[in-house]
Amino acid sequence: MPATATAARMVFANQGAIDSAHVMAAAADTTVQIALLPHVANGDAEAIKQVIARYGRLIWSMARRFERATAEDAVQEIFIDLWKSAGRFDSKVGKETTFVMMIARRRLIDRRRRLQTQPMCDSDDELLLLVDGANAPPDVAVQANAAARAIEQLTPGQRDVLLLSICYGLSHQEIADKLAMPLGTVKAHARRGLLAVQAATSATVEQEPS
Amino acid sequence: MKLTDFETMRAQELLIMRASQGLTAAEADELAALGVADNESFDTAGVMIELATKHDDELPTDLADKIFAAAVAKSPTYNASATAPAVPAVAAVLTAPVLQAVTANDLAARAARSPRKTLPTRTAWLVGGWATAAAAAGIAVWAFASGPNRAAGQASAQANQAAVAPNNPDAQTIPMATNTPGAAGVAGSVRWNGKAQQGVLELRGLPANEAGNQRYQLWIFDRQRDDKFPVDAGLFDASSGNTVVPFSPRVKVSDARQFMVTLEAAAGAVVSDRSHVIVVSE
Repeated sequence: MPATATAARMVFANQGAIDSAHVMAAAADTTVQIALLPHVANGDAEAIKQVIARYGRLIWSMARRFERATAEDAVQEIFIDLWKSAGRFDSKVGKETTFVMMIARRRLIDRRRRLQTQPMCDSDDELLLLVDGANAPPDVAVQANAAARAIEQLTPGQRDVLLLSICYGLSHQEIADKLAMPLGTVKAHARRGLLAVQAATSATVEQEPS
Repeated sequence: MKLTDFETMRAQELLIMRASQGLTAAEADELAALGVADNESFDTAGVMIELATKHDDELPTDLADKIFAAAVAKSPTYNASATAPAVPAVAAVLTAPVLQAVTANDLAARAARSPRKTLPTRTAWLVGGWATAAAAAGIAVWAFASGPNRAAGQASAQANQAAVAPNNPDAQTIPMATNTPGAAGVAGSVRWNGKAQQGVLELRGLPANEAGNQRYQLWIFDRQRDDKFPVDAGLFDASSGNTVVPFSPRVKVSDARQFMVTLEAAAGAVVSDRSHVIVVSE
């Protein structure tokens, strides 16, 4: 599949469409982002329910991209990991959403390597991705918004490679095959894309009030 | 340890690979040897890229229920601590362990020990308390914990009866009704004391649930919370006739707006899809 065709199917919000005021207001609204994991670690069943309600959609959507046929198994594994890891979460060190999503991503990547699971990006329609950062949970909305802006600054080729790699879990070789792109170019695009987003999100963290 | 330029580049390459497609065991060892394995900035960037995209697919309700049931069923930690004091902000009881059956004989014996005269009518609990009335009327009742926690359960039952007593000015009675075709004839009320966070549900004509496969679940809508996530006030069974369910949600209900009973799978629902609403408060 040519890179240009793939780029056409990936939908990016216009920078002007990003509702920064909404994002900032959501980020300031700490009342809806009280950390739940410490309560899960204490055996609070209601907190378990709320964690499933709060992060279920994110994890399910991500798992469905990574694994077309086995997303249910993946999600259950992820939540088991999460219950086991809840006691390690420290709100002084990081955001709860980041902690949860990092566990989820590592589990999905591990499953991809271990089980050779197949991503859901065979058909054109399934490649649609809207990048705007406006729907991220409040505690990470500012960072997600910064990531969205950084992605918008990438070349189409870099964006394609980065999103296929991060959001669908494709290996560099799989991306090279899919986009008919030299492997070295894929690696370079992936590196540059992730470096750009890392720089943008790290800068945002440094600017946040403590 | 100061890294050479080559080592720095290799470390960055490995960190990027870890964030995007994972590492082999040998690569993970190499990263650890370089002393930068705890650098999660690229992993965080990967998370933020993910969060910057749309997530429109809702977690299926049955899968959410399965995950919740597995969490509470397979972990002794959760079961053991379900009745322990918890942080008020989000603490709540998984009410199944709290709402446990007491037999009709228990109730009869309890009523017999009480000097209070009782009226064997539907409204008896309004006069003499739900346990006495239930025993006198011979209705199915779900009460606070018995068995190993009998003392605590009795104390909870006494606190509940006092909180919902007819002469308690902090309690109010809210009628329940239904327009669900399959639940025609079900009616009753909730007596709720928001100050004490105690209540009792009384329903007449509630059909028996299919034991082992279904349970009824009581929900409280709080004006201070999103209506998508009403507070779970407990699971209970119904046999036949009248049902009385004392309850005390451990998530604080700031301003109860409405009560609802749904029929759910035996493990209860994390978030009810409300496909089987039996009664709601008027």
